Amino acid sequence: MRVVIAGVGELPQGRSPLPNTMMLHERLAQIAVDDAGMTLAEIDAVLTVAPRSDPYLIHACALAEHLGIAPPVAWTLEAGGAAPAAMVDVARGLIANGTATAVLIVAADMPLGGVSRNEYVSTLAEAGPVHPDIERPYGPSVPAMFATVARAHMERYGTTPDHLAAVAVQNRNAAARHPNAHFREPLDAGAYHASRMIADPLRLLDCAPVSDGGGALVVTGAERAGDRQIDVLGAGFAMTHLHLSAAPSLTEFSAGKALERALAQARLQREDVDVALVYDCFTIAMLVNLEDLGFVAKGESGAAFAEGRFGPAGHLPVNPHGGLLSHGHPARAGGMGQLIEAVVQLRGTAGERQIPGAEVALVHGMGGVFANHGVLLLGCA
Amino acid sequence: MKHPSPNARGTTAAHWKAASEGRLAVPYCAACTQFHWPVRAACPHCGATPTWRDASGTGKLASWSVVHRAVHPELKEAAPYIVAFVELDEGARLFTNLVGARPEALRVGQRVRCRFEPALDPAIHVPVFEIEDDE
Repeated sequence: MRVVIAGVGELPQGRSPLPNTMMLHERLAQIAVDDAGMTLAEIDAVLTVAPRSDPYLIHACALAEHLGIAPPVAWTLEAGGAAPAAMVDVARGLIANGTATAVLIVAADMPLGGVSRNEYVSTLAEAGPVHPDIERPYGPSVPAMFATVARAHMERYGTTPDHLAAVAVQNRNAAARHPNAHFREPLDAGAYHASRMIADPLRLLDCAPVSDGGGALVVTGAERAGDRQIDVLGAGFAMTHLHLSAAPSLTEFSAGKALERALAQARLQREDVDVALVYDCFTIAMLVNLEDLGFVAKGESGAAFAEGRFGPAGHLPVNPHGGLLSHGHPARAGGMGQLIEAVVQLRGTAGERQIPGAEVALVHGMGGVFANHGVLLLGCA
Repeated sequence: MKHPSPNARGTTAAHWKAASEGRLAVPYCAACTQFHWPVRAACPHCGATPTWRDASGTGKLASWSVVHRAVHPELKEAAPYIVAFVELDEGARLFTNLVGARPEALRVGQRVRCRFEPALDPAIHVPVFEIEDDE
């Protein structure tokens, strides 16, 4: 059965002028429902992730309550940065089973406006991907965990700081063309190398910012969607660990397994992908994930990226919206920007950042330190 | 550096107890004679029920990062310090601190040796590693 994305909603990422996280959810939900040409009364399922800045027993029920609707399904799902893909796949199931007909997905967070930035960063190290028992006594920040992957990749494959800089610079140049991006000021390699060291070899500009933001979408069956519908062609998932200490490798993870499962479901090949939205919470994540997804040989991502192979005019354009690194990283809602950009690109409404002829988009999401992966393949209807 | 105290009564309790006695205890599977890390309900290699065994405490550096900005308030003054993955000669890979090392001289594969440092709770010690001399 065909399931489509019928509407999307996004607001500027960065510091939100809204007073609280629930208000941000409300605004995003309304934009997505309007975009689908529907009303909130037609929504019969709500899926959310639990925002770090707004704790509720069941966040999706709190949102439905706030919106003044009583959908049969109001569930909150936990899958880290793979949650956007996971929620879309849950929506497919709900629709295919006849449990729901119009699924509203909202993931948003306000780590800047909702809680203090320092409080957020320290909670992330305490309750995020760092193991509270066997890793925390050694004082790693989240960047430090990714830094150990970066160092291992550099030592094994010869990846360099210039390669990391290429990722930061390409993302920033892309974000300059996105009106909702958190950071749009131009950036060059010099500015990258001058940014302060956070966890060697990762500098400030290797790290995604802490942003208020997120997005919303409406998923429906094909029979009721409007003329701007985008097909969900396939989904695939994989996980190997939660804590990096338990990962089978420090340089290779399971994004590729997730993609292979999605390709099989969609009956597509890697070559069919016109634009890829890759989870890049750190520069090194972009490089390792591109390799694991199989778009470049293991160890060669840095040089390929620096050559522009993944730029807007490259072999496979990646993250034309600027990625988590510059479009923004809204805490628990990380990865919604990737999903929404894929829809906008496939609609052909991305303006000056439009990838010409984009008909199949790959959306990759990742939770933890390369822990779990979710891939969606989306296509023009 | 003063280490945030681990949960000495959690699934890794035997490891922390041993460390406080100057031993490096690591999960070990008698069925396939392999060590692993972290603690699991079943051996990741063969699925048998693991037990604990003391490791030699020697191994090699697998990766590291120099942390310039600590997030834990009690570690702010200790920065910069080095977090590292160490691969024990017995085969398990541990997350730890590398102490007394010059960051610019580090490379993957360098020989390392375990020693123990107190946590903020002085009753608990944690294993850390240092570079072996005379290379």
